[in-house]
Amino acid sequence: MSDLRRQHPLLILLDTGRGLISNLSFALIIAISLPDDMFGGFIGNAIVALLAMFGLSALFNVLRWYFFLYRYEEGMVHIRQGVLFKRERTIKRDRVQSMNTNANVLQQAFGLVTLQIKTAGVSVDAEVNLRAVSKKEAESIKEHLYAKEARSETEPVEVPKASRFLQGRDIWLAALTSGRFMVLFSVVAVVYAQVYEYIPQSYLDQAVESLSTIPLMVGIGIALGLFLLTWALSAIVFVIQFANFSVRRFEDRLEISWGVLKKNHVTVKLHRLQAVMVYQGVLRQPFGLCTMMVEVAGGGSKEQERVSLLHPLIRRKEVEGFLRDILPEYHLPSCSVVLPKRALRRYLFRSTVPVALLTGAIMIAFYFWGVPYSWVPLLLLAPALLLGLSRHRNGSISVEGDQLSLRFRNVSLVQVLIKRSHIQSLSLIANPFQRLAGLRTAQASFLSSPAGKSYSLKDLEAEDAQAVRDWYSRN
Amino acid sequence: MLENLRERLRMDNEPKESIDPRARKVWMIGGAIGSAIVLMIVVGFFFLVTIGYGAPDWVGWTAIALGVAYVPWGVFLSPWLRMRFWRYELRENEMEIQHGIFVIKRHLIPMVRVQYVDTEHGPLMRYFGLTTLSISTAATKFAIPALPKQRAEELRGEIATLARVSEEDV
Repeated sequence: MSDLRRQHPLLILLDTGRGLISNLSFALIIAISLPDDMFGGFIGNAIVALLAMFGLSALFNVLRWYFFLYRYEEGMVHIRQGVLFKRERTIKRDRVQSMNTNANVLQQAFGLVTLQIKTAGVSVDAEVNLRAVSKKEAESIKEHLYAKEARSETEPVEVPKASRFLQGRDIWLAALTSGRFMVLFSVVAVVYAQVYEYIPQSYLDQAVESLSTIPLMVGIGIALGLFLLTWALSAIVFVIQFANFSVRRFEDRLEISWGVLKKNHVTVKLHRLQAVMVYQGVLRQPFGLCTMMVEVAGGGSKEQERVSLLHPLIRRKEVEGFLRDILPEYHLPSCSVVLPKRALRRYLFRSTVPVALLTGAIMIAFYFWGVPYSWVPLLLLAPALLLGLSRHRNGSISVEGDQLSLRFRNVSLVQVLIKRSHIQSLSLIANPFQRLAGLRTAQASFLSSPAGKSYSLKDLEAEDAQAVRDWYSRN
Repeated sequence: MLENLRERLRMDNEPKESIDPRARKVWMIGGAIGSAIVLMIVVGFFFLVTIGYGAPDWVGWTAIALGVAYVPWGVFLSPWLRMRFWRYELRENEMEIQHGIFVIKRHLIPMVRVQYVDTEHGPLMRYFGLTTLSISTAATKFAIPALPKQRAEELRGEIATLARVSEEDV
């Protein structure tokens, strides 16, 4: 039980700061459009415009903070907000789908967190977003919404059934294979090129002189140095992002948390969990590393709110054991049906023809402009061909017990595990060519707010597709 | 040989019931209206581009040829194919729907997943006494166009009753 409260006043600062950055360009436009002699030239104008905007937005945020009141009591959160247009909202415990907290550096300094309470509502803003409440307060709100009956103080604290943490040894591999690596590498190279000019010429001469006997080695050495530097940076980024990762399984929910600078804590209620996904990026596949995600119904409208991280980095062969510990409801299929040989032709066609058309167009254009090496775009065909081959080889489907497992590759290799009771509808699709070849596309749709989502596997053997359909059929 | 080809172009185990044959008339009328609009656009294009901007004649003629070629497709072929493949079947625990022109899609919707059923009809459909029945799950929505009004209402009632039977968790 509690009376109406306000959030921490730091919210004003947070909002004003955020607003200021996004409105900076707006202030500059105002400054430019003001007559020059108004506040003493452009600089003066800019300062005045900025101050005015700062004042206005601070005032507005103070008002917004002042009029935002919340109250929580057993099984309910009540919110009253709005400066001119008042809005009240009450959310009941039964409707709460998930509760997350996260905190950026500034919030952490003040011991505050952002608490998001999500409901199954289709409307985008049907949720509570408390952006500056103390950690204790957030815990207490969560507690009030969770407890089915008021829990007495003497009752023991709930013990997780199982928990897993990130293993340190894989962080270096993860850093090397993260998608950011190449971006970071180019950044480092550019920075190096900038700094290079400022190294005193004499020092440089001396260095080159002493090393010039092996000029090739210098080049390789510099490249290697940049590479190692990038690797270290990438590892640091990865550690900052995912350090302290832990996932704990309770009877009815998963508690997942990670991050140092931005601490994330996600609670996934098990009955809202719709699908488990195992991703293997192209770079991570050779090292046997995967990322695991879960699809949760009733999240927000943004992708990252519907799909929650389950494990940032796990070895492929440990996935089985991880699922057994944390999510015994799901399992990796022990055997699955692969695509028929005659589907390969169609996979190759799909992956190469668009690329072939594109390269054809580029080559013709190059030929007309007289660009040398006009055959170079042809090299693109090789990866396209490989991609088609790999897509065909990795496509598989399996139904075991009440679980459908799909494996397919777009670029990353993805394995999706869905329970029969979470599939909203199942479709078999076939174009005329597929029908002539006796092939089908199988597509399973499931709930993922605000709209549905579906995964499909192309060019299955018609009988296998029919078997999946029969498995799903309740007649 | 031809019979064999037709057999292979069909998806086996088709659902039993076809939709009302008057649907084809509705689609043909719709196709005729669409064709008229397309023809108007290509003729307009012809005058604007070849005469107005002085582009070579063949550009305009190609557009007109494409527009004319669209007419038999829109008015005859596509309504016929649509009618040919539209099937549905209501069973005790599930609904099966098949539709498509080139790409045939067959959906299986368990009754326990059905969230709500609607019937609706546009002016053209209403003139022919036809109704569209749409079935929504939490993630997907399917529509059976052109059912006789009474049949649609029967179906809506049946589905609503069947959908209420079991309460599995979403």
